[in-house]
Amino acid sequence: MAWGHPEVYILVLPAFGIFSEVVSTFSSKVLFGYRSMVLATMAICIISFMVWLHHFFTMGAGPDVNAIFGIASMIIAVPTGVKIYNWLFTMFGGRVRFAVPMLWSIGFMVTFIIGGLTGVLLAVPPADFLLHNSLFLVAHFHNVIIGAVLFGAFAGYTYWFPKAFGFSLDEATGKAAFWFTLIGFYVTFMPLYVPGLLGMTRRMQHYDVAAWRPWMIAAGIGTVLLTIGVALQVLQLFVSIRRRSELRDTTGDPWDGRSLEWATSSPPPVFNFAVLPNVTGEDACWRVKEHARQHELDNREPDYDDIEMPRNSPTGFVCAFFATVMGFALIWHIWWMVALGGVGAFATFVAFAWRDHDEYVIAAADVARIDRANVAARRAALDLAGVVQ
Amino acid sequence: MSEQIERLHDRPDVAPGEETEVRIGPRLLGYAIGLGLSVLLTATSFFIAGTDLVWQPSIPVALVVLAIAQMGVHLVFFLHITTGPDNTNNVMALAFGLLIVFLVVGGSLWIMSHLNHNMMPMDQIMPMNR
Amino acid sequence: MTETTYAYAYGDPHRLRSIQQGAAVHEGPAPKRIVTAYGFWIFLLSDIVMFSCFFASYTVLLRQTAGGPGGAQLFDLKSTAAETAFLLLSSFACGLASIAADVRSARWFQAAMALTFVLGLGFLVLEAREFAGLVGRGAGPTRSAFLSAFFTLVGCHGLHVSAGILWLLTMMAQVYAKGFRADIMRRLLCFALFWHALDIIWVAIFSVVYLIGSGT
Repeated sequence: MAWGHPEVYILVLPAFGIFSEVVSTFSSKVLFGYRSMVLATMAICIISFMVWLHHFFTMGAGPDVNAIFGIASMIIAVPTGVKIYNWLFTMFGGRVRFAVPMLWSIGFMVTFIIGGLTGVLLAVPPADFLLHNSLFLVAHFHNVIIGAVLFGAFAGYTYWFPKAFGFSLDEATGKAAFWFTLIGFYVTFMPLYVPGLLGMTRRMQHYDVAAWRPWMIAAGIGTVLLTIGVALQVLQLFVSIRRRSELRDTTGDPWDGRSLEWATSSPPPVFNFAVLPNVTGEDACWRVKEHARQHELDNREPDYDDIEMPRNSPTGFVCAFFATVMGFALIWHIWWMVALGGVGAFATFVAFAWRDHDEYVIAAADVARIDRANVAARRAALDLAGVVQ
Repeated sequence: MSEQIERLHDRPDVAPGEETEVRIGPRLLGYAIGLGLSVLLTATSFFIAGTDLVWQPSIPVALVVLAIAQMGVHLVFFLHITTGPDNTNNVMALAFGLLIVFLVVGGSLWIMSHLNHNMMPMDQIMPMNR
Repeated sequence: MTETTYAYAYGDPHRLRSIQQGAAVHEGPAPKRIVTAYGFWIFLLSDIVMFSCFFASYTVLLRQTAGGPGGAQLFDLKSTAAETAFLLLSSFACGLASIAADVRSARWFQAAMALTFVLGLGFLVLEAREFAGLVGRGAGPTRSAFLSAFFTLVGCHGLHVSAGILWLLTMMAQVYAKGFRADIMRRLLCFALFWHALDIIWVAIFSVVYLIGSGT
């Protein structure tokens, strides 16, 4: 359990990072309170290792132990709240665009706040004595994990898909998937708080209490909506692939982004940047775009240089395969397989360490050729849009 | 193309401040001092564990203190933890690791001793299982 | 209010540039040696966290001997002292190997590594004999919770030392085959960090498990 609680923060902090990027991009504003965001994240990192007993308040450790961990569990809501306020203030006074990633982010903010509040309720040991392992707990953790981790995953997926694959995802199916998932989530999990308060425990194979039934049926209807949401999400991918020539991202910057990845083509060249950018502050790409007219007039090419790239290797997969074999064999005491897996993993590792050439060089001429092609494509797309005269 | 790669491998891989020529003397002395202090601390630990000359209840505390001191000696003399700017990240990583160690070990001991204290004695639980 | 909005467009509204001025002044990313060492420190950190979990379990289960033998009955402090001496001297030998590598002396490097190997192997042999002896006396890992925790903690350390020995031999072979290339030097740095860290963990083990344990 001392690992189990930090694990959920391992889940949620990357999602928070995604939201910081998405919210600032679609509010057309720099992220509010960067330093406090960093401090809040660090505070969450430290405090998350001090709360684990809240998973077993009912095990009988006594009031002082329960109180300390209960208070710590409540305190961790403070830096989290700081981050929520920062996202809200980023939106305030900005020009908000309701693209699909932003819809997921706004959905996250509402959903996660409700889930977080129920978490603080559970952090009170006497309350937890009644609610431990009840449906209230189940509703709480689905509330926070779906609200933050799942919505964050979908926000990031939609936001960065064009960068990775060179064409955007279909907007209409994306919005439909979002609404069905959001409403489906609420219809499924909000009713579950009530049976939890009425005494229903988790992991029940069947139940006989009539008072719980209307809530469980409502939740069942919600699962239908969620299933439709999942189906639409899958459908979105097929529709987007079918329409990919129309959805092609020619400029590399489909969202009018603020960070440096949007200064590359979609997908980026193997070396990412032809010349290492000189970064002097946040929202580096935004800075570049603001001086774009100036850059246009300058029209100078950068000094292209050779780029060293690491050589790809399948060693990771092969070594992991042997390690899995070894782990499986250790569980079932198949000693010959343990030896096979161990020797295989070690041999693969040594083979990788023995290679003489771990890098290759992309000549300056090739870098120049690829970069010129990307810049020309971007310029052509902007010309078409009438952006650059 | 292979000469380019040769160039990559031969380029000295040093940090600012490390470019000066290596002199064996001071480094050897560093390891020797580390060894000497460690032997001293180890011998003291073994002595204290077995002797009657010390107030008995203080022995576990003394052993822990000596162990921490020796770990410090190893970190400084063998693992070269310094206060240099290039070492700051390593010190931060170590500090975080130590925080986790204290939280996990200390927290577990505290919690388990409370649980143990609050549990019914076994001779009252066993009859309930019949 | 308008002043601040304009400031966002051009300036450094969160004053991040001031951080740059305090940092070490040299262009571009840090040298590979520094980055590799930091990455390995993070791995050592994770390993230390794992050992702390085993330590926590051991200290909690210290008295759960299920009516069987405890530390005082089982631990032979002479063997422990010998194991400690072997590991400590092997750490010193590893330090000598690091110095030899830095002055690019293949002969002294191989000699120091061979010494490290012999001492490390000596440690493992003594530990294996101790474990075999315990199992032979009916005090194996299945005898009681205390013994399960003991074998897990000390055994895990022994497994790490065994892996370290394999790595040591691999490094000796690499230097013999390819000399003191930059990437091999980085690997030697990581190996040295690993070997010294194992000795640090042994300091905790012999103090907490053997010395404190033999008093219970």
